[in-house]
Amino acid sequence: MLLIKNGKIFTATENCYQEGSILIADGQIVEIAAKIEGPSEAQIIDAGGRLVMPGMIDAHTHMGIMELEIGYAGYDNNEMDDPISPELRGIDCINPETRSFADARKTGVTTVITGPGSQNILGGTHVAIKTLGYRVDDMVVKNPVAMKCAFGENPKNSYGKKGRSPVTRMAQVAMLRETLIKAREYMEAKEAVDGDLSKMPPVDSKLEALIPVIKGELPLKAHAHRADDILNAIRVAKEFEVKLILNHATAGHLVARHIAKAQVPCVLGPTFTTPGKYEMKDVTFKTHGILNKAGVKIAIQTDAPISPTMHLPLMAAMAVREGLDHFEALKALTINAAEIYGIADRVGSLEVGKDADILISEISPLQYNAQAWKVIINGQIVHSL
Amino acid sequence: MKAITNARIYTMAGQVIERGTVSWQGSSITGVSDQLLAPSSDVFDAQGGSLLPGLINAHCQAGLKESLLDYVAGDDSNESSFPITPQLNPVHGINPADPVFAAMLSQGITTVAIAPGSINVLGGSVAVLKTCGSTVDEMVIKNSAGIKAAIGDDPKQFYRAKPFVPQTRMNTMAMLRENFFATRDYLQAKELADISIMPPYNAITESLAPVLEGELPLFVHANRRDDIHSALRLAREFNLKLILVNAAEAHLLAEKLATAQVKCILSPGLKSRSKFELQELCWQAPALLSAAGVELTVVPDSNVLPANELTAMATMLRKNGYTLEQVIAMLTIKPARILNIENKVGSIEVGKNADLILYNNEPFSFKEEIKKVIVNGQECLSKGGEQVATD
Repeated sequence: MLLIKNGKIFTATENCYQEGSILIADGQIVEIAAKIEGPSEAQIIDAGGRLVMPGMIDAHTHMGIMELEIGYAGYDNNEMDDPISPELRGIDCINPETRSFADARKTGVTTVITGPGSQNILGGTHVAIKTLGYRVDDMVVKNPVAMKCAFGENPKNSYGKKGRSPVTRMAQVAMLRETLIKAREYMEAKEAVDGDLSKMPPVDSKLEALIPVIKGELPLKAHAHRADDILNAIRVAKEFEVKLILNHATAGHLVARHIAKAQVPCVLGPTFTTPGKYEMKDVTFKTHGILNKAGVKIAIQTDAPISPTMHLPLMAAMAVREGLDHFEALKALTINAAEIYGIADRVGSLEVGKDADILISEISPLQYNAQAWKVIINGQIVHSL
Repeated sequence: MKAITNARIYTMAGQVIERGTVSWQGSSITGVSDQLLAPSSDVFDAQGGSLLPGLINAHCQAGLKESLLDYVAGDDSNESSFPITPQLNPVHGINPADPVFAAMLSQGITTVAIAPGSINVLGGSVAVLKTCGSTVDEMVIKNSAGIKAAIGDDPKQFYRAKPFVPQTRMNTMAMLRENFFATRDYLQAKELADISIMPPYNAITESLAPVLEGELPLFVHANRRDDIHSALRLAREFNLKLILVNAAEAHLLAEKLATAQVKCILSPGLKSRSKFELQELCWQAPALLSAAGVELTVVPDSNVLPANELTAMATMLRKNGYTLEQVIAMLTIKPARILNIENKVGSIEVGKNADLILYNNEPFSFKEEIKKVIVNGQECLSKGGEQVATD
């Protein structure tokens, strides 16, 4: 058992801090109260008035999958053979030894969403994992959490430049629609079997992987930077009545009203990146505040290792400088990300019954000189100053 | 005369002036004092805000590798047809309309050194420009602050794929030596020759001559320890002035660099460890090198600079052991010395260019707001917050 006393607690359920203590047993939070007299066997951490908050969630990464540092040997990010590759699963290529995970723990990032890249129109599934573990299966919070799809320049560059489809944005959307229509028919054909195996359609692993998307159980996570790509994603999601998460949404502030109306959450970032593509020309840290004020649920990502995961709080701090409310930024780093990916039953806030993933920091992680003082994952202290 | 009064002045030439006035005439600073002036149409009341010299980014490819265009149309950063091209000058490839300049200006970066990329073993000159202006010619303050070289992964990786040379680190160094030997012979021949036996004009050796004669430094892109040692060996053999660029592992041989009086342009932390040779990147590197006595500055080293990065780096340096004044020095007077432009910029002193940033509040705190940016005495930015479009 672990007892954190004298904390200035941000639970992420309310926009305030409260003085109090947290009791942890078997990796879970069992009590939060102004004062707790824990059992004598409990290990005590005296937070001494420090900020106690949920472990942060990096809401989009390729951690363990894209090992830039070792080049081709570590590059498992994009299977650039078929632009329609929904049958791939991010969980099959995660190397827990990648140093990003150690960086994440030191920063107070306790959960990350990781999965395939954006070169394919449909790239495969993303998974939510803890940043602690030696075997990915032990790290999983939920698998899958989203089906990756991509709009805009990346699929065009990967395939169009080789003379293959998609060459244009038109083809991207057409290929996605065609696949979703086939998946719907495949699902309906399977449902119509009704015990008569002679009616069973031949197995199709690509369409099989999309059934949870069609059923509205698994969100499409759409890589989209430019405003028109964002609107394309919203239009397709509406047509098929599928759940949608906008990934990057770099020009989101230009179409904030439409995103809010469609009630689509946005995973913003990495923002600290080279606007090396035309579709990123509107990149600004103002997007976060504008979308939040428009009523859009936002989370923040580093796209690690594209930008280092240890800069997740730094990105939130820059967004605060450019207009995002302080508490809304803390929520974007925690509970919002959990809700967007359907893992809020386990992580993202400090509540009884949730995983004991906790960051204790001298001061708000949004201040420039903040450092993680203690980081706890599953009730285990994984970083300590 | 114009002036900013009632400001906390970080002159970078002596003590901070707690409350004082900076005045200028035309493009030059004419007065720095702890006296206050009465506000008027020409005298701006800073109301206690912080006044800094314009920031300097000592190495990037702004306008050379354009931020918005795709690779061929907007990329003029590497003449990758031949690995030895020291005769090139970025001045002839920079697009001043690239929005990166406005973005840098909005963050108070008023001077920028622009160099070719790291594909060529000898890439070309390092040009120094102001970030405000509509033509390159009016922006340039120094046509060549040195010659850019690159060793390590980048040249061999690119040319091996062609295939061409160099394919190994050995040949990268051999090619550098060969060109400096040729330059030495060329200079000797020129010195000895009468007009009838003058050696034919050679653009490569002509451009390397000032480096060999010690008038200009060699900027060497090198990351790994072994590459940095190779650069030191080359510098010793030809008695070159050396400035290391990127230098991801420099902090691992800080003492040696201090002894050799090598200056560093580092890019710690903010970027990804995207290659094997960048594995040792860390925020502690600047402090370790400074402690050993190495003169250095930091740059984001994106191909093109995202506007916020230099100031975010400055903030991260405060977190990693530097005082605010040390951080300001690292982005003003130190890069000015490294680029040998400290007679014009880098501090707030009489006679220097009136390049000033006025902050409403504490600089490099994630909370700073820039009130004014002045370049050559002209106000280039005045705001209460940049506006972005939204529907």
